[in-house]
Amino acid sequence: MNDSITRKFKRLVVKIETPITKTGNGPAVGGKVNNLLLLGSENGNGKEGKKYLVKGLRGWINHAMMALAKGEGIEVCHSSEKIETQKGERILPEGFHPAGKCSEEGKEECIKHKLMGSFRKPSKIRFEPVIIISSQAKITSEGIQQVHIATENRNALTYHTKEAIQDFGERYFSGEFTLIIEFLEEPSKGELGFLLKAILYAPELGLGAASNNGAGKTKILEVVLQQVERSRGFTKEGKVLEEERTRNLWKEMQEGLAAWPPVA
Amino acid sequence: MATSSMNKCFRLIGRTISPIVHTTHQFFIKGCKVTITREPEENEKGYLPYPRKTHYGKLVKREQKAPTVKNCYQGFVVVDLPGTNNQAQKKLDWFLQLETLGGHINEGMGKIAWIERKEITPSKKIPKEKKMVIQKGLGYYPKPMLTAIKALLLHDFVHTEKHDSKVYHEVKISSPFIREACKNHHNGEYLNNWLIPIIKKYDGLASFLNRRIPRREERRYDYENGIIDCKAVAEEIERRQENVYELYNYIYYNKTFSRFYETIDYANNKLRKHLLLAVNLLINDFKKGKIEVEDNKIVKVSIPTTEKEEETKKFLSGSKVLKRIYPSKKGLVRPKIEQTNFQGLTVQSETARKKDREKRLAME
Repeated sequence: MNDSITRKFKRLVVKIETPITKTGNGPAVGGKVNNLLLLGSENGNGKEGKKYLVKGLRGWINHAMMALAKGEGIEVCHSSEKIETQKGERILPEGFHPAGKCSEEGKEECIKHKLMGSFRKPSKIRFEPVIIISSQAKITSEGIQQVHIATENRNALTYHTKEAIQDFGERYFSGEFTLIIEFLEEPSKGELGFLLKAILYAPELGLGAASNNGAGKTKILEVVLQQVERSRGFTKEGKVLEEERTRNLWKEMQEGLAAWPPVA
Repeated sequence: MATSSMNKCFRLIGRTISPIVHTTHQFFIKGCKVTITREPEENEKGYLPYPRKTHYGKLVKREQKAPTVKNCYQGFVVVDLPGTNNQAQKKLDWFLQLETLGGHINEGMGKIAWIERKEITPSKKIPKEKKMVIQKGLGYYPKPMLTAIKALLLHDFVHTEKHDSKVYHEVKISSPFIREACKNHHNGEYLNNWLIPIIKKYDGLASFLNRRIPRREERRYDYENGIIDCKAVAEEIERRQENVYELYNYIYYNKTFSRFYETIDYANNKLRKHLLLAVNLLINDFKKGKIEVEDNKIVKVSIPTTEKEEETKKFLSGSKVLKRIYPSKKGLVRPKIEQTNFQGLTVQSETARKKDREKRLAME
């Protein structure tokens, strides 16, 4: 491993628990079930258990940031770039500006834009994919998390004839999973504090669909800030060898939490 | 050995952890070809197999697909770097530090894990088969082929046991041989006419390939868009029947004719496409060598079952096709033409007379 490539970065490891969450990819054309984003099975046979990708985690934190900043009375970017509809109805709520508007010349960039970016500026953070597999599956590989996956069938019938009005299913999962957020650039203390507090605020919002029907409840179990040194190189046979060293940064986390919101 | 080492190049292989959002499964980065495949090795034909395709985004019934839904691919990632020199090594290192590819990477898509590096020699690829294209105009073909083409173009304009003429009015076909074939192409009888099995085969094949969704209509053309003078159309075809090229062009280009349906049950299909497809299938088979011209007839070439698969894969080269159209006259035994005088005696040539004289002198 003499000619290896190393990368140093910081990351947040967040452990989350959920009783029921529906982060679907939308129903397929002609289908009745709103499925999670299917990634196929481990060996391609379909017998070992199907892999799914949990969508919408970045958007969830994005909305948590907006709600948190509004509560503190700080103006940040909205998730949308639009101000009004084609008919002229205003859709931008009070306390926000359109996404990326603050990055224009002569304006002060808001803290959310610094972290999440927009069409004008790339983001500072990257969300790692959360890939889940059924807890019943016997074969798993590294990086895949085991949770309970099932389908909730909903069938509404007419009173007299008992014919189906609505007949559809929604795929959900429940259990513990880990979310990893990588910093592509070194964050300032204020940015780190804002992100940490947004993660702590996120359970107040629902994750995924049907949050008003009891789905999408979450509980943050653990948040750790880590310093990672990842190296990658080739062996003599040409195989890629990857090594990772981690160190927890508890002190920096505390400093970050104290740095936001700024004291006027 | 020197040339083989020159052709060698690096290949970096990886595995997708989450699907790569991209418009295509093949693209270039820094002059290196990146391919997302199902397996990291080439198949028998020398191509990397097509990857598993999924959709990222909401698929809603009866709503427009793009731009809310994006294509994404998963499987293996193969990066082919040109050569094995220092520049290629630098590019290899750059690719090795990559952790994601494609779009939506900040949302968790396009994550990859590199597996290994290889030194390979690029394998030869078998050229892909050409798709059959309906020709704009007919080329030159032998006389029996032109007869068969004419019969295929005219076979739906006569009353048969199964259906009436598809332009309502029957076209009077001047050639009795073609007329007989067209009239009986739905029968089981072959009547010692070599055209009937050909019309039967290519008519059936063209309708099989074209028919997908049935739609029943009462008339044989789109009546809502105006009435067509069917008698005039029949007369037009009748007038052009002597020249195959003219008839083909009329069917190809005429806008009024293109409004006719293939059948009443399959009104989505047009008669124009059915006729042109049948003719082009015949031409395609002739070019591939599946049919041949023998004794002023078109005959099916019998191929042994073992060679059949290999034979159908290959397209004949341009020169071989030309040889089929213009067969060489070498080695042909021409029948002797004997001239007769008025008394019924044969007239010998001067050279033959000389030879006879010499023989007699030698005998004496």
